[in-house]
Amino acid sequence: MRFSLLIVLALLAFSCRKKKYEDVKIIGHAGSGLVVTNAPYHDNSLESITYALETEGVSGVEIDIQCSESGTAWLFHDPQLGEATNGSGCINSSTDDYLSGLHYATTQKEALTRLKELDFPFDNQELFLDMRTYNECEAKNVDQQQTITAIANALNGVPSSQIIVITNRPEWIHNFYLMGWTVYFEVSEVGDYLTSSYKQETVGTCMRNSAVSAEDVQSVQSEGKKMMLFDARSPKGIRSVLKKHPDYFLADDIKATLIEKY
Amino acid sequence: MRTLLVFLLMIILTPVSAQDTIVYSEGAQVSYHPYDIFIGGHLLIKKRRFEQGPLIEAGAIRTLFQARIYPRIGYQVGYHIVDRSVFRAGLLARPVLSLLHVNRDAKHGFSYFEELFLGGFAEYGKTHRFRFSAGFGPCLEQKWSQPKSGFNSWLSWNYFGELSWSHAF
Repeated sequence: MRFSLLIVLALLAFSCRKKKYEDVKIIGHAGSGLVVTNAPYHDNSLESITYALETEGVSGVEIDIQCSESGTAWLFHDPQLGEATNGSGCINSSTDDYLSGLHYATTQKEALTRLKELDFPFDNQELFLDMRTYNECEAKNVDQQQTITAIANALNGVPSSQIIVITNRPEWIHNFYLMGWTVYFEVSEVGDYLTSSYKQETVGTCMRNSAVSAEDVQSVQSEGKKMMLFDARSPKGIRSVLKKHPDYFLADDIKATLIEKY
Repeated sequence: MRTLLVFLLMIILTPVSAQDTIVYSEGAQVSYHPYDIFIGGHLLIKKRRFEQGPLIEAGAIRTLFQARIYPRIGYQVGYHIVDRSVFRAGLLARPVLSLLHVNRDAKHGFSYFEELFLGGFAEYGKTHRFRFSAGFGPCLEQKWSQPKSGFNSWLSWNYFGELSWSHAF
């Protein structure tokens, strides 16, 4: 009995702890989480995105963009449709008619979503477009101009400064920059970003949490650039991200992340 | 749907015979659920081939590793298809309610979960009983919607797998 009381008191003491992570914005990774069991909907589905955006404390969502053969921007993460849907092939090699009839292989059977289906711009929330740039079915890189046109058509009327893209292809940065879009350069090591000649055309970088230290985050921020971290799902991993104070955290477990932040 | 109604009707009509032996059991369980690993205790009353009883649990990861108590209560009703002295197996229905305080800075920072699992169980033992249960069913999550400034409901599907021990008397 006495032991139980101690545990309850310890929990209350911990739960009253004030956390100081107000500077870290929580972004739903691929909607409300990628490769995580407690996301109620499939990543990049409209349901997943709406679920995240309607959660208090979430500052926006990141989604994965692939361009169809018909020249339309679709939301999809994996290289092949067969990995997550009832279809086969690749987004880049499929027509809009074919993709419109597909759904994710889940109990809910969420439909594949076009970028233009999102009600963007959102109220006080941001949208990050992560570019998928390789067509695995044809073993070639996708055409950037076709991708730019697809995004511009889908987000017609949205101020260019509100279009935020993430790319790991340095040769794509300049054309995005010329469009007036906000660009994040995804790299595997912070040195790759800080020494990059493309750095001036970006507002920041996007990196895996395990590859970044708190000092790395500070070194990026001290140059007036923003740091976005991803790939932390356990409470311990989420805490490690928040303690580094990046500008953004792409959260896979939104509830766990909000619990850690607040 | 008809099968479900017949099953529920059978359970409702369970306490018609007061002369049969009643077996009480109490115990503890750990269950895997997509949202957490729940640990708790339960009571069961078995009469003829029917059983029913409450359970109370807490999500271990949220409660122990994030210092945020994640309580869950439920009520299980079951029917024993196989009812031998040391081995029993059957079907179960389990409505469950849980809540989680996700965002303390928000005016409405709670998420409420209402679930109804249908599944089965297999149990071994006489006095000390070890049981594996599993179920699948709809989950209705209710939480405050920022853009709509009102509560919104989210329907999805969940499942659980559970190991339990109970002492029968």
